[in-house]
Amino acid sequence: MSSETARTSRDKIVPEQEWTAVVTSKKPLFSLPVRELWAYRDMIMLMIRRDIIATFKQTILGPLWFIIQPVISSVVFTIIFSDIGRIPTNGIPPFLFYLSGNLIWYYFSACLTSTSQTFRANASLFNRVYFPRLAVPLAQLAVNFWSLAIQAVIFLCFYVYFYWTGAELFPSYRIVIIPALIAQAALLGLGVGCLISALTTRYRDLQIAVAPGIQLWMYASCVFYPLSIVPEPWQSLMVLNPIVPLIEAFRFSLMGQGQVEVWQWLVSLAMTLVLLVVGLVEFSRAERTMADTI
Amino acid sequence: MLAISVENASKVYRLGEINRSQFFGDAKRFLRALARGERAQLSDPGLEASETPDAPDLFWALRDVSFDIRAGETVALIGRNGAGKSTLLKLLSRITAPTRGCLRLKGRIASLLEVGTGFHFELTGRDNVYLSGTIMGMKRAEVRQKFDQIVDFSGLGQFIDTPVKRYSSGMMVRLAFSVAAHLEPEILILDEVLAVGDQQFHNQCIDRIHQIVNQGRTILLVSHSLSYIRRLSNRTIWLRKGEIVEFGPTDRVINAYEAESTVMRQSRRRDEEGKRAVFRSWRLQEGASGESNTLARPGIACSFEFRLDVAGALSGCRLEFCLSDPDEISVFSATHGFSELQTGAANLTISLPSLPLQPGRYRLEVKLLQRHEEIDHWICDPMLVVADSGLHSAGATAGLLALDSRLDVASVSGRSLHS
Repeated sequence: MSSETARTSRDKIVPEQEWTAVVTSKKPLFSLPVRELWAYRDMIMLMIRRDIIATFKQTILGPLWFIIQPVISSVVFTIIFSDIGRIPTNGIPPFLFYLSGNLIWYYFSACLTSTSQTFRANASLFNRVYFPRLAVPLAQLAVNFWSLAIQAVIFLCFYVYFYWTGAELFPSYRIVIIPALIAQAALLGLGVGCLISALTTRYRDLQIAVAPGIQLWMYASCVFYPLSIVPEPWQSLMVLNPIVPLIEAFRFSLMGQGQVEVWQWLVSLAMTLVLLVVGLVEFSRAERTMADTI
Repeated sequence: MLAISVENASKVYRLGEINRSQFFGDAKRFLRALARGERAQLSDPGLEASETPDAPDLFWALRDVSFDIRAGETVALIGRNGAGKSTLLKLLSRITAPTRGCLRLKGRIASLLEVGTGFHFELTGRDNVYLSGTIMGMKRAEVRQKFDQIVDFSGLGQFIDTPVKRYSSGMMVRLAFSVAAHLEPEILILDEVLAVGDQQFHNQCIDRIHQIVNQGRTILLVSHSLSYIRRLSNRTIWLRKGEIVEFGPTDRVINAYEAESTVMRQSRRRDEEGKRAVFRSWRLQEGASGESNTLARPGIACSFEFRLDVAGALSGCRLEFCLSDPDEISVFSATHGFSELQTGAANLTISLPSLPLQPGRYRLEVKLLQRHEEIDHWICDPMLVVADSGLHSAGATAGLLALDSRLDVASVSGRSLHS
């Protein structure tokens, strides 16, 4: 009988067999659970569906809110920065200029904000059941992409309208890079958001700092002014803001106005990848013990 | 083949709050690591545990726990509150990582404690069944296949396309449990079952659990009901203060566990001096003679004798006697009045013509009252043990009572009335 009592010796013999999960205290520095995420693809799809449905349940205007938000803010920008502040938009109709900036900026900031809340907003769920935690921020990217798609349609409508009424817009073959720009905005938001959500499992201060932080970041991101009017040394410094080349490249490819060099974009791409890796590393570290600290 | 293998698993928590001083600790550690050119590490309990394992603000919820569970086994987990049961379950269900050690799992693990996981109030019952099912690890196709079963089980077919925010809390729990009950994982955690819904639904749940248990899955059972554990599980793990006291056959472990609780209760009784009368001991008399607390022959007359120390004379007394199973389900109780008790010692004896009980341990409780005022109340130590005489009552399969039953079969000629 005594053989059946608990073994506490250090040298336990683990039989050779296949395991579906091995949980250890050792921390892998970086592991992307691609296979697990794939296994949970149905859940991710249903989470996306849930968030899209739930956001506008019992609202009258429903998804129209996705449109109203950037349109109103673009109208306000037009009045304040163009009509009153007289900031030039380099020949692009001001409204379209701001709308284009808002399009990219809103997607990026929405991805950042929603992924930065991953652990706190889902604490009770994460405390009860295991699934690859990264599924939640990934689903957020898709949810935000849905609103981006609606906004893009509206942008296109205004674009065609301004084009027909004779505005100086110069679309070029370069529009093929737009999907890449949008993907980069999403990954940048994901990286920074994951980093913040990982750090907020310990210190919640960051969570409070997100909203004002994003506000400040927007002022430095060419949303309502072209990079070309920024004086030195600020213009060189803005290379350090990875979202700037995205917005400028977007405007350049669609409307022929914008200032972006390939090397600037490469710097921005490199920064995006670094932030993404750091964010995912911290995220995977935090997910192991967040249940204890949050 | 093993379903679960746990190797030296430990889990350390830090007591107290995360606050500024800890932030400065982190910052200092970070800068020092940076200066040395090492990889910076945030302070975490694991790190502290390896530096100062006995620091007073560290709490070892589990310490060096190792065990194996074979596939298809039903294993129970017992221990007092805070013994580490929940922590162990959290590690096994991968909600949090161990501070040290390693856990290996074969197959999907799910828990019936996760009732309502991932439910969203704005979605309809149907959407929530799918969402909750996939969060708990099912494929969408699996949910679709079992959807009708799940809805049938919940009995909410009529409301399935209503947002769950319009559900009553009872309806919500029914739907949630129905999803969980159809998960069919390879390893199932059953935790403290189950105050769900009304009596009828509760019975339905219990039936379903028995059905799942009998499907040959690996089951980890956590319950405070020892008789339930005895009935369902072959082996039992006893945890105390984060360590395994014993892991072995259920009967042996539970007996040891109960013996320990008895010791604890006795020590509490010593403080009860200064009463007018105190129960001191009890013994069982079986048939003509015998003096123990073990009932060996449940079929014949027996009596319970209680020794009482009386500090001051009492009059208008009443004795209440209650016999119950370990889950405190009453088997038999009686009350008898008597006129007076003299100062000194007294024996009160309750006699029964027979006590046809199934083998096991039973709780005895006696209460002495004087005109509705309680003088002493004693949950008797040790418990009553009904020995397994090896003679099984004819036909009996389960239940509290050991009664012989008989079946007569008579064929009725001609046309049957029942067809």
